[in-house]
Amino acid sequence: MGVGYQLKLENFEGPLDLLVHLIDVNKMSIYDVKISLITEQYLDYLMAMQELNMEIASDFLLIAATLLQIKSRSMLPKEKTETIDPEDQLLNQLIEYKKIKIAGERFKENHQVGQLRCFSFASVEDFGETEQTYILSKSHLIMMYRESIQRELDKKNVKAENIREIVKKEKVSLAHSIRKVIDVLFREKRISFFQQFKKNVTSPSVLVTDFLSILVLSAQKKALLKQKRPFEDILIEGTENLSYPENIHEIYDWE
Amino acid sequence: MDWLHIQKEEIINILNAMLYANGEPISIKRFEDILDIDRKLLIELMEENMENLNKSKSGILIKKIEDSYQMSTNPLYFKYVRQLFESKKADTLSRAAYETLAIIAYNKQATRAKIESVRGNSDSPLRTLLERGLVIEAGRLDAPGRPVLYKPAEEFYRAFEIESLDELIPLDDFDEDEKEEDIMDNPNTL
Repeated sequence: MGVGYQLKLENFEGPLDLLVHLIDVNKMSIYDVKISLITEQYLDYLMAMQELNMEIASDFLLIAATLLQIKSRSMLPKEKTETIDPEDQLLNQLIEYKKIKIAGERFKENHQVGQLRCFSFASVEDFGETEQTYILSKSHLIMMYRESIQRELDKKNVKAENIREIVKKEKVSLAHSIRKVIDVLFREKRISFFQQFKKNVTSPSVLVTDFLSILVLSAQKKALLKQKRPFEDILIEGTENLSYPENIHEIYDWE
Repeated sequence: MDWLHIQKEEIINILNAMLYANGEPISIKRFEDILDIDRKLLIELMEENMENLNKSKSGILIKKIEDSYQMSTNPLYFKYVRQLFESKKADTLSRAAYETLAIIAYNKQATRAKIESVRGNSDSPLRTLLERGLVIEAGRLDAPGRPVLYKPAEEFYRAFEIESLDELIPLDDFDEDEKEEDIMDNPNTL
């Protein structure tokens, strides 16, 4: 690579980003690009990437091929019935990309400014626990260690005794729940998850299973779920595909 | 309602009370329906209201988002307000995400193919934008394959201090090379 310029391996967003960079470095106008020089430097860059064992994404190779195509066409006599000139196409793409690149930088600035405003409902999720600093002494540390050991012990004992009870209680069937949801969907056009299922729920596992059911129905395109924001109510609508599952595999083996 | 006997100031007070209670944006249409006031007058009063709040450096301002209005804190006091929320850090996105967002915003709506024609593969930034709620699906394009269209979400207008997409600086203003070219083409203008 006996070239008189320095290759700086930056992280380019893609082949167009690299091309815009090369054009800038060579102080060319995007409306007057010397394709052969840029092609050379572009290929040098890909080679440098290869030497560093960097993986070259296929879109980089596609542009390399386009550049070589343009170069080879320029050596041939021009046909009169040209279809789309790949050079024009690439240059137009570069012009568009460069504008978007600058617009993106502008957006970043706007984003900083926009965040100086707080909106009342938007702040709910931002209420985090304030961070606290503890000053630790040796005795404090030992005490905390004992406490955590005790907590573990407490947990284990309770669970060991109740394990049978837990297994018994958790017997909620997904198939059953799906049928229940479909029943309701056939009766009513649109239902609210909070109203229908969360309001008079008997146990957390039933609620979780009902929630799973609507996810399965949505994945099978039998129902449409709508939620405005995280933690808000979910609206469920049956689609035209809404039907009872024909067998157990339809519930568990869908992909 | 007979608004003739009611002062302008009182209507403004009502608008503010409604905005406060709702928290989320309220559309002009909604105000019209509830208050039965002429749309033009509503907009006029709201503009006056916004200007007054701005002038008096009020702690609460009103932000216009397309055809809706929403209350917000005044950016002047961000330094103090932010201290309520320990975890509130300035949010920033990757360059790829800002570029992808710019393509969607400038086209008002865009398919994945449109985005890729401008800046190549954009799966990951598009996913980020969807996760952050800055972009939402806007139906499907009536073209082969019926590809999904994406458009800026309400949150975009809030987070980027933008009122409407028509307000964006024209893309051609970012064409630095063209300006130079113009000067070279028309030396007389110098």
